[in-house]
Amino acid sequence: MITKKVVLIGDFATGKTSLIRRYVDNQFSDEYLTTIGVKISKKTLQIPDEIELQLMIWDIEGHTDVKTTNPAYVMGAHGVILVGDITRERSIENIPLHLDLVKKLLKKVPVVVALNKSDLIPDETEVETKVLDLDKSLPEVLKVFDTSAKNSKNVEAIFVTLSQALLL
Amino acid sequence: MHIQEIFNAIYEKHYYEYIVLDTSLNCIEFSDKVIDYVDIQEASQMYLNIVELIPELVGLEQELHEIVQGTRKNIEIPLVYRKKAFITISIQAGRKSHYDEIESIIVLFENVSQFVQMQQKSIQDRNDKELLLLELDKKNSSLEKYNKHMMHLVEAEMEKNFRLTNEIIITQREVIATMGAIGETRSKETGDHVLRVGEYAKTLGLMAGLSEQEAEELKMASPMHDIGKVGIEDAILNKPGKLTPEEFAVMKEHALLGYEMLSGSKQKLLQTAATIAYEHHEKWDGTGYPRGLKGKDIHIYGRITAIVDVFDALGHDRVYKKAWPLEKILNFIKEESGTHFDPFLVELFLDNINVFINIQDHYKSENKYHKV
Repeated sequence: MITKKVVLIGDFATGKTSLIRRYVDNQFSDEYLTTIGVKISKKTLQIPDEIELQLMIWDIEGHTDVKTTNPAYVMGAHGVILVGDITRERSIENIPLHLDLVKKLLKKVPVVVALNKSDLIPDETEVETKVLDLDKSLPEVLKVFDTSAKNSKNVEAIFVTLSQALLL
Repeated sequence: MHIQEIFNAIYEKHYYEYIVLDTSLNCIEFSDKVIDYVDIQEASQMYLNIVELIPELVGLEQELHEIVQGTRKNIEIPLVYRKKAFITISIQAGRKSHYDEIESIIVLFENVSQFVQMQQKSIQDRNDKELLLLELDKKNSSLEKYNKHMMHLVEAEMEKNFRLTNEIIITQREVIATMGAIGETRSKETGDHVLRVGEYAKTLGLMAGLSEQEAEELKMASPMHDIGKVGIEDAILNKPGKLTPEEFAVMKEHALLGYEMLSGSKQKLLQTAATIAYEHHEKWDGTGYPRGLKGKDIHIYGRITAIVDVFDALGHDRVYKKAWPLEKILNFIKEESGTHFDPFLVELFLDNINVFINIQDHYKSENKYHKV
């Protein structure tokens, strides 16, 4: 079994914990409880070619104006999921800043982006536009997804896409 | 830090737990309660590579190796949530002195749950407050968008109403002018007369201190001053010679007839027109008709229309007379000041006669008055 460290980075309250909870435990809660420090979850998945991969998923405290992402949590990561709240423009604008931190601390690692809480935008076109715009502006990123921890949209896809890239 | 110093710290402060590793990063020694922080069930399972014991170190193999080599001082992972406790994991080399070889690696676990508990509420409150502000911003922004949309709708509606009102006003003006002209046409006078009267009346009204709105109303209503003539028989209306007293009595009825035709309307403009039709033949000294009103009992619209109607009528041919020269007209108006006409208005009119002549020039018709 191969073990890889994956870290989720993003502004506070973008739904990093909810994405992990949905992916690992298939659960969701609307209640917001801020993450302090870091909590690690494990998830084993079978990638085609019968490779068993164990992800050590780091759920770290969200970036705020007064407390930025602690580099100690990012160090040693094999893959990164950058998370933004699709309804909160500022959290999307900060994604390139998080990417800069990743590039500074890690050698070339695969990065995917999750624009979370897409269930809150009823207009599918608006969601697609936001995804495409960000995708165009971030060529280093594998793919930008619109996700919803609430309705599971693309939650599995972000982890699987990243996992496949981890094994390349 | 000297290894002995580390152990001293560990023993002095009971919230530290530790694991000692050999330089291959395998566990060789550990404190009693460290089992609470690692991924094993029994102490006998502890003798493993540190990365297997602490999953937080996956990916940091290179950094651990650097500590063993002495090229990295330490690794510190703060506030790791493990088994319902918050711990800070720090890893550093252990040697007897600064000059000795690294003989072991020390992994320290500091329980910082108490510190986190103190911080958690304030962080949660701060983040909740921030979210609330963001939510408020979003709502305000939506409200602003909605308001803008509403403003556009209101503006469009206002513009439409303004256009419609304007159309109504223009239509009203045309209808009034046409009605006035009908009265004039029946008595074989030109339709331009009523338009000129309207213009003069507005100009004199403004000079006399009427507001722009009142003067505009006067301009629109005064062309109907003779509308009652439609009820006067042609034989009298178009009689070339002087009317007999009986015929003149019939002719005078046009003022009341005009009033009766117009006063039934609830429209302010037609009410104004009714007043003018009723009072434009009243005289300042009370000798006019139909009611013999005197001085300022005569509405100012009636007093103004009386002057400008006579001024224009005398300057043009009528069936019963030829047009008068300007000088004669002005003398007549001057003579009638204080008897027929309001002396204050006459003064204003004569002082500004050029303005009225200019207006007349704009309405050139076939029957121009004869300039002197």
